[in-house]
Amino acid sequence: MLIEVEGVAAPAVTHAFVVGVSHYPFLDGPQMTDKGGELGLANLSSAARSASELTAWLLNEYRCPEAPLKDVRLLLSPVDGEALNADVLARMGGQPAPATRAAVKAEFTAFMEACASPADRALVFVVGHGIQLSPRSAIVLLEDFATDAEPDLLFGAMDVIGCHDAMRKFGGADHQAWFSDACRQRPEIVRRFEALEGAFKPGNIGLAEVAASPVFLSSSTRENAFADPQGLTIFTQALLWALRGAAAVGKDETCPVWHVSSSRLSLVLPTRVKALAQAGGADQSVDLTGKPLDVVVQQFDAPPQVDIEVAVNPANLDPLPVAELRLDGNELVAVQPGWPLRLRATAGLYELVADVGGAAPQRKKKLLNAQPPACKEEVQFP
Amino acid sequence: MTDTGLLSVRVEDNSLWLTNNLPFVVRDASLTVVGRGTTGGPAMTLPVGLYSVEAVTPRGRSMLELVRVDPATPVDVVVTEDSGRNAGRDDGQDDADGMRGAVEATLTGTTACTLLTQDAGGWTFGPDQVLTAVPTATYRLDGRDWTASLPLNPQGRKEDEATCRVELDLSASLPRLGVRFTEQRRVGRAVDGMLRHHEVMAGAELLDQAASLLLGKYSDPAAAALGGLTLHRYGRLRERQDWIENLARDFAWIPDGRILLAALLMNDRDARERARGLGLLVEATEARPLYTDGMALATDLLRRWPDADRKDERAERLERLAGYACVTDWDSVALVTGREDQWS
Repeated sequence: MLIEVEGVAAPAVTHAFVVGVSHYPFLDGPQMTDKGGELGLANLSSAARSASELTAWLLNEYRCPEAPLKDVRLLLSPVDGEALNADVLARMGGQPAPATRAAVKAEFTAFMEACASPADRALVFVVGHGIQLSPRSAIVLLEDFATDAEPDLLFGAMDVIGCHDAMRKFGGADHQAWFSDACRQRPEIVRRFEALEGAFKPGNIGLAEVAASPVFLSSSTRENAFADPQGLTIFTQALLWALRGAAAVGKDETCPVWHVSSSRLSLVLPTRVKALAQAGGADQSVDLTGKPLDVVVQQFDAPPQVDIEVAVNPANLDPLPVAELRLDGNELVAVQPGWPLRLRATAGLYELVADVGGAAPQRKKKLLNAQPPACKEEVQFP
Repeated sequence: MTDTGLLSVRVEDNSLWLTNNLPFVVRDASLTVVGRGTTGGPAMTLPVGLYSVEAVTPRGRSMLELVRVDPATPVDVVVTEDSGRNAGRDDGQDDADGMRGAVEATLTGTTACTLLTQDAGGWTFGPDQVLTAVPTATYRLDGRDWTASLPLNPQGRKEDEATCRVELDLSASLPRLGVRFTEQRRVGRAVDGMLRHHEVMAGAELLDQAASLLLGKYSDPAAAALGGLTLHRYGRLRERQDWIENLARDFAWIPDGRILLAALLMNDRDARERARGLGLLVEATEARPLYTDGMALATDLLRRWPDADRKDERAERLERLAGYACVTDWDSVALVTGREDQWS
C-alpha cells in the first residue's frame, strides 16, 4: 500500500519500503499446513507493530531537506489484537495491506521504479520471522509462507540481500539504507533452508554500484527475546532510539548539520541491541553488509540536548566541591548545587572546574564530552 | 586575530606501519569535525579551545581523548595498544584473564597444529606440519563441543609470528571461543580488532590499506585472507584480483582464498572465467573454511551462482556447509562451529 506525503515536489526525494509480518496463518492456527506445522514456528506479536512505528517515524520525524520523504510502501500482517501505530493505520484507511509474496513483489517492483534518480534516497525496513543464513544474507518469511498452494517452501519469503543487490542499478537511488530484523530460527530449521531457493528477489542482479547501501542485519537467538512487552522488537527499539538522537553526530564532510550516519549506527546499534537482548537473557547480533559507506539517515535542526551526570568521588567528601561548567571552557552554563551534578545541556565539549573549600582547598578540572546519547563522568579527589 | 595552538597525534607501537597509518578525527567544542589525519603526520594548527580526538588503536578499538589546545603548550595525544580499553567490548586476553574458572572448558582435540602454551587467559597454538587444511581446535564448553578454525601463519619467521590464541569470552549469555591473532601479527590483529569492534566504517581507509598490505606481502596469508574477505564485503576487492589469484594458488590450505577468487570471477563476462570460478568454489567448499565470512561468502555464491552449471554439486556443497552454518557463532571472526545434535 502506498502512503504518499502531500506537497513534496523536490527534485530529489526519499522513498521507503517497509514490511512487517507477525501473522503466519500456515505456520500457526487453523490454516496451518503440514509443512508449516513441521517447523514448529508460532505467530509473532510485534513485527507488524514495529514496522508501523518505524513508518510513523518516517512520516512524522524523518528529516532530509535535500531529499524529503515522498512515500512509504507499507505491507503489514498483524496478528489479532496487535496494536499498530494509530496514525499509520489511519493513513492505511484502517486496513493494512497484508505482506504476501504477491504484494511484496508488486510493491518492491514499484519501489525500485520509483527510485529513479541517483539523487533519490531509499530506505528499506523488513521485520518478521527470518532465516539469517549468514552475516551476508537473510531471508524474511512473509504471510503466505508454507502455503500449500505452492510447492516451494520459500515461495512466501523475501530474499533481503537478493532485493538489495537488484537495487544496484544504473541511475537508481545512490544512497540507500537497509534494515532487516529477523527472528533467528533453531539450527534444525536453518538447516532445512540452507539449500533451498525460491524466496522473492527481482530477476535481474544489479551490475552497477551505488555510492552507499549499508545493510544492517539483525537476528535474535530466541523468539522470546525478539520483542519486549511494550510490543516493539529489540532491534526496532534500538533503531528508533538511535534515529531519535542517541546516535547523532556533529557536522562533518558528509552533512552540514547534526545527523545520524550509518557509520555511527554501525557502532551504536550492535552495542544497544546486545544490551537489550542480554537483559532478556538472550543474544542478538547486528551484522553489517551491503556497501557500508556513509549514508546520512536522519538530520536535526539543532544540536541535540544531552543528559550530563557527574559524580564526585568520594561521594562523602566534606565539604563538597562547588562546580563551574563552561561550554568550550568559555561560556558559563548554569548548574544546580549538589552532587552528582545533573543537567541537560546542548551537545558539546565542556570544562568542569570543581573547587573544594575549607582548610585544605583543592581544585579539579575535567573535560566532558557531552555527545549523545549521554555523558556520565566522575571527578576524583584524592 | 584568533590564538592558535598545535595538536599532534602519534602512536607508540612496534609496528612502523601502524605507527604511521592509524586514522584520527578531531572535533571542536561543538562536536563539528575540524580535521582528519593519520598518526605520524605533521601537527595540526587549531584555534584555542577544547577538542576531542578519536582514533583507532593498534588493536582495532576506538579511543577518545579530550584536550585543550592553547598557544603555550603543544598538545601531544599518544595512542598505545592499551588506549581505549574501556571504550569497547571484549578484547581478548587481557580481559579474559582469570575468567576461565567460571565455565567448564576443556580442549579435547586439535588438527594440523599443536598446543604450545596454556595459561589462565587461554591457549596458544602453532603449526606443526606443512598445512594442507585449516587447523582446528575443539573444546567442550559447559557440555557442548565447539570447533574453532585457527588462523595460523606457517610463513612466520619467529614462533610468535606463526601462532594464534584461543580465549574464552564470557561477555555473552553463553560462553564463546575467541580466536585472536597474537601480538606479533600486528596488522592482522588490527584488522581483526576493527571487525570485532564494529570500527569497519570509521576505519574504512585503514582497513583498505591494511588489507592491501597483507595481500601484497606473503608474510601472513591467513591475515591476508581476512583482509581480502573484508575488502570484498565492502566492495573494494576487484582491483586486487592479482593478489587474490596468488592467495588462491599458493595457499591451498586456506579455502577462503579460492572462495574469494570465485567471487571475483562470478560476474565475469567470459563464460570460461565464470566456469573457472565455479570450479574453484566447488573445490574450495570441500573443506572447512578458515573464517566465518569465508563460509558466508561461499554459501552466498553457491546459492546465487548466475549459471546453471554443476547444480547438483552446488546443492551438495550447500548441504555440506549447512553442517557448519546451522550452529555457528556468527559473532566470531574465525569460524567457530558447534554440533547440530547438541542443539536440537
